[in-house]
Amino acid sequence: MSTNHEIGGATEPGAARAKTMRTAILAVVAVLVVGGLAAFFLLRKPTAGFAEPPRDVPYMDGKWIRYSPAFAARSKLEFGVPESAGLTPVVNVTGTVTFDPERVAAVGARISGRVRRILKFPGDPVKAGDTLAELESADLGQAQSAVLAARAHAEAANANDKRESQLAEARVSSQRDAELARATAASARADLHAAEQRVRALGGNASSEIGVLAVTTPIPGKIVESHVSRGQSVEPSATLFRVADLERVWIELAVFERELGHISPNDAVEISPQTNLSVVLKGKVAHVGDVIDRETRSGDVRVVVENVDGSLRPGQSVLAKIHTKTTPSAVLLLPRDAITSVDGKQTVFVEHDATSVEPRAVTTGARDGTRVEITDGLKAGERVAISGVFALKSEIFR
Amino acid sequence: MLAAIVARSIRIRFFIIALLVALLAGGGVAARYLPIDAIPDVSTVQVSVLTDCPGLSPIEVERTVTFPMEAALNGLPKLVELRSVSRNGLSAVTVIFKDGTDIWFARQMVLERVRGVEESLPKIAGKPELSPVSGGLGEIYQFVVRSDKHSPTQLRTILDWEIVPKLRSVAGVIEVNTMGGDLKQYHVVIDRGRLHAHEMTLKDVAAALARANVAVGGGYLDRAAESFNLVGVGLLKNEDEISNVVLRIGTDGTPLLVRHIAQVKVAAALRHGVITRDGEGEAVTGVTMMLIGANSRDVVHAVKARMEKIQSELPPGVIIDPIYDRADFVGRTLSTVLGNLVEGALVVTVVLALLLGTVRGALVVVLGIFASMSFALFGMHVFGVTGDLMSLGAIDFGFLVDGPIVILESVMAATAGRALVKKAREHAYAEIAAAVARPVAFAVAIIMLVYLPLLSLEGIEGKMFRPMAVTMACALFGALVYAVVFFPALLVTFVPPPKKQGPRWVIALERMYERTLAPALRLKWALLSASGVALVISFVLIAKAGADFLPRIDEGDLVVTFRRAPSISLAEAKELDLAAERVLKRFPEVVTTLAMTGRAEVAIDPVGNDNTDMFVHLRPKKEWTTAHDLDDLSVAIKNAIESEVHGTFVSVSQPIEDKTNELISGSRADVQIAVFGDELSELKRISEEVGALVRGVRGSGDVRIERVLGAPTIVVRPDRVRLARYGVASEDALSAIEAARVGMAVGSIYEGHRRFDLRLVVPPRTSSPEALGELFVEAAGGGTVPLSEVAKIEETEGPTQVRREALTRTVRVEVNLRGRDLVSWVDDARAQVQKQVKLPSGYEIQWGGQFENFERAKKRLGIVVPMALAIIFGMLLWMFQSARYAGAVFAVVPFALIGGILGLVGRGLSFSIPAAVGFIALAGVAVLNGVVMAADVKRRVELGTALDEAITLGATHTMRAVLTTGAVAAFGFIPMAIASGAGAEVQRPLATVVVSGILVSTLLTLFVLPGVLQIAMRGWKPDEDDEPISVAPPSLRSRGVMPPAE
Repeated sequence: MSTNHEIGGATEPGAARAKTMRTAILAVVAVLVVGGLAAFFLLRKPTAGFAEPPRDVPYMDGKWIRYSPAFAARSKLEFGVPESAGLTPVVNVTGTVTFDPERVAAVGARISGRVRRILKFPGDPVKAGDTLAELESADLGQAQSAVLAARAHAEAANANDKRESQLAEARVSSQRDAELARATAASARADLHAAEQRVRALGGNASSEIGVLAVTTPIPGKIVESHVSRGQSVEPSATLFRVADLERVWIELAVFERELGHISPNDAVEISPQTNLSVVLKGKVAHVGDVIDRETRSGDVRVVVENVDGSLRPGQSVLAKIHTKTTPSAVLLLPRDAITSVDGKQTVFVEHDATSVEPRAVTTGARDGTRVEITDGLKAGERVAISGVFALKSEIFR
Repeated sequence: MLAAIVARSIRIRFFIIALLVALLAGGGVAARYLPIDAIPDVSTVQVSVLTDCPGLSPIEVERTVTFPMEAALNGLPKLVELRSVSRNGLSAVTVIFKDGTDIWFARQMVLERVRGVEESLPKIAGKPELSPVSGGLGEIYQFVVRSDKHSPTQLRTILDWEIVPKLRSVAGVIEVNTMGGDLKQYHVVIDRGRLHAHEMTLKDVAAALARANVAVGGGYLDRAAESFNLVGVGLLKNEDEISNVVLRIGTDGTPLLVRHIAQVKVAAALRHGVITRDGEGEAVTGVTMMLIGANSRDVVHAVKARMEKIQSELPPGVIIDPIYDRADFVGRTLSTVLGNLVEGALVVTVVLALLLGTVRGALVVVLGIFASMSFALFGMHVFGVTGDLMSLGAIDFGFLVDGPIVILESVMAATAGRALVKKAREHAYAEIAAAVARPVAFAVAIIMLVYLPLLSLEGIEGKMFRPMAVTMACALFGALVYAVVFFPALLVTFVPPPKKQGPRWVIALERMYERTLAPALRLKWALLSASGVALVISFVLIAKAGADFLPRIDEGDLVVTFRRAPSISLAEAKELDLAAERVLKRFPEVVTTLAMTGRAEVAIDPVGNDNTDMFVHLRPKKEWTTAHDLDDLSVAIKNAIESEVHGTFVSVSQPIEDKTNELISGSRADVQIAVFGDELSELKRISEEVGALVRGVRGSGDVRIERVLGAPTIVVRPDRVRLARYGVASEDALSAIEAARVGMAVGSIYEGHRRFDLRLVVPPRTSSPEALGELFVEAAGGGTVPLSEVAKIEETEGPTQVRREALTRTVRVEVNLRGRDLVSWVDDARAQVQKQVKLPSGYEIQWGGQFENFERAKKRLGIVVPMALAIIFGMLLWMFQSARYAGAVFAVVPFALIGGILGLVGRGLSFSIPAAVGFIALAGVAVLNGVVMAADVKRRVELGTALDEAITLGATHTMRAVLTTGAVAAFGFIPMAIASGAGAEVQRPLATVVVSGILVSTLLTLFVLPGVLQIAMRGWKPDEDDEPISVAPPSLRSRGVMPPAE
């Protein structure tokens, strides 16, 4: 390049030539200057002024994950202290509602007859002794007539006895006649008593209408079944009504042998109908079966439930959650969602300071539906992330 | 011979002109039918075999599907690489064939082998299918279907059954992948309690539904003269009909219907992916794939035309929004390329007119660009080269006009002031043109040969740059033909001799040069050594500037990829995607975003919920405000998203770039360390150890260790003893798991031509293992037992995926470097790893990545560049028949590089292959100038002029030609050097090198070459020419020919 300037000094005779020369030099200089400037501006990288925008990203600092308060807020990070309490494992079983045997009655007639009138229908509430239906019974009628006859005899015999004994006192008749009359009267009374006994045994009473039998319930409750129609003839063996008290029902559960061992009487049970799991009724285990069925490998568990609002119906299938006996001593419990799996290890995020956490592997033990026992790796009182756990876990995979 | 051709073509010039017109017309036609795309497809010839195996874990998939498949495919002819991914429910085995293998032949071979293993696959596995015949440029058009009036399920149904079949029939479309919304299915959701209470089993219900859903044909009945077809149509039609299917008739005659124990509803198929748009909500999308090798411009146009028709046939309210349109990118790239060409041609015309003082001459020279391009287009058709950024964008038209310029300049200089007409002009022009035809032809031929080393490149770099070399070589051939055959004829016809010796200022410049030449010759040693020092300094500078292996082409749109913890749920991923989209929406550059997490219901892509690809449609670059180039914008986007959306790790790529990387092994990292071995846990341990170690090596930027474990899994393992005791079939036990979530397929429901799955679903109470244990399974004797009684159910962590390469499991550690060069880092890291990581037997570590490609290209260029130099020298020898001239010209060529290097470094660009092409061009110009000057000197010497005088005269005489060719190349490339449109990344380094290089190289040719010639000719005796060096064709001589020491 320097050579270009050297010629600038070279002189040449002839004014015109010198002029052309100067023009040429000017042209060269101008081209160089313009070209240089153009090159400078055009070839410049057009990115001046771009400043890398700030980053707010958590990072690993030794064994801790450090983050900004803004990160904590946007990933909804929350901490909690593990709960120290007993754990109650839950057994879930499907079962069937049945009647409480103490609170169900099958009502029938003791004699055969024909239904004359039905007084109560399924669903009607009844008190003990209420008449449910009336039967017409020839047997009862006969028996009742026999009572009447016997009563007449007895009355006649009594009157005769009275008269004979007066006569005998007055020595009008013989002592023998009086004794005979007394025996006859006793016999007639015995007959009457026997007749009355028979009526009673047939289920009627002497006072009621002749040949009409009232079918009554021995217990209070509701008519849950009725098998009669008017005019129907019934035999003594037939069950005419079933009356049940549904304020308390039994739930029969078949629990598989593995879980049977955990369950003991008086364990609390939550019962929900399969059709509506939002209804929850409280019950108690009343009985745990002593034998295991060879076929089904399960044992019976009976639960007694106060069916206060009548939502459980016998025959219905329900879901039972049995809260088995709590562990004897208090253990550290964390919500299930506070624990996550990192590289195959159960891990929690322990608060280190306001803007950092330590991922720590822990050992877990028993669990109920929502909480997990921490058997190792965590001390009581340490604060653990219970929300925003996935955001923290993600940082490990950065 | 050349002289004869020149003379003859002048004689028959009207025929020659007619021929030229025909050539140009042919070029126009060739341009119209040239397959056009934005960039070359660098993906490999590959065939993927995808096998859907619902419910199988990665390990199971690997063992039962991937392994037999690999075994069958191994050893196929022309196979280069075999790799596979086994994920939950999907096996993808990819066979990569040698480049150039016919894809249909490859598929045929793969298919034959696949048919062989099909039977031995587990029953649960679907039919293995081959991936569509589509390459890295396959995804050409993506759209979203939206509506205010339709549900996602309806939109998806419209997409699947109304749009896709019509789109698929467009020629060149091989596949349309759909995703998003809800895939409609009919679900029979069974109430476990009621099922149990009625003592029914899943199997009973499934059998009943299957029995109820039938159609039979009864042949036909004849009546009178007519025939009646007899059909029984018992297909279930809707929810009501399904609800009323009878399961069983009770002993008392009461039927038990489906609705007694289950609810029948239209529901969504279990999803493996989710699509969101603009941070607003879910969307339904389709991606149109192009057949490999099809013309993307034509296919996109056809697709768009069909789309308009489809749109008009859709139910009112349903709107198709295009999201990605390849035609945009192609159009933008093409306009950049054409714009630069046209601007360049204009600049060349003006420069020529100014320097030579003849507008007609300039126009005739510029016509050569079009003639050469016509040749290039023919060549592209013949060699199957697609028109794209690489093939058309790097055309160096400075070379195309160099030959005609030299001829024109000598003709103008020799005939100035003479009034030549007709025959006289014919003879004079022919004589002058013939004299320079030989050096011109040689120079152009040398440049053409210099491009040939690029043809030897392999792999990605080969696919990227070979088309360019082919095109350029064809164009140069055209330029040669034009200069020798067409140009003299045109000259005689259209350009009269000039009245004077060019413009005054040019003449003054010539005088100035003449005067300066003497001191320059005196100071030749000083100038030579100064140039040498400058060369050394610039080599040091370029070595420090670093190297980009391949240029990153700005596609104008982005693909932002999110990576998250492998255990992420789809719902959480969706929320995070929406949040990220809302962040992006704030960027003024962003027009629309579409995020795709996971995969479609039909497994086509082996990715999980932890992988999100977000397509980001950007405004034109001029409107950007956040940043002004892609890298800066990427950083801004990455920081913004990572700072506001937790658990989301961002990398920014571009649609074609992303797809191509995925196809060619998927790692764009500088270094990729692959650990091979059998045990996943051991691989994990080793990869973590290696990762920790390389993190400490100086120069390590991001280090990413691939996580192979970490997919939370609930494993259900049937207990054989208990199964036996209860009499439960293993299949029944596991079908309960199938029914729990994905549903048991029991048939299809037809609605017109649309077909939907009918599935039985028994949802567990909650998503805990305990609740799964409560599901009932059928036991012997009609009873049921809970699953927990007959199977072990546990929560564990499984592998997210198992990747295999060359039949061995592998885990990757990817490293990107910061502030250190690849080679020394790799040496360092490799030594440390070898020393400190103990590998058990059967385990192996391989180092690869971009580094591998770089090494390969370096090795290849290490052989090819010296060979090219040897060819140049051989050609020079052949041309001059003298080692002295050839040596002198050859010795000056390296100095031409100085300016290019300074320009590159000054502009902050790193060394890359386009820059290398620029250097080739520079060397070419230097050779051309040197040849022209040395030939002139040699001619004078041969005519008996004294050497020093011959040098001075020759240099002065050719100065104008040298200046003109230099100015044309330099000014002609300025539009390219400052371009910023699509594809400018490739053109910019190339043009920068040429523009800045030519400035320096022209000066050096003018002032250093004469000195070098003087040195080379020292001690020359005129009689040396009597025994010319015997010269064989260059191809034979190229080996062992070294430049002379002096």
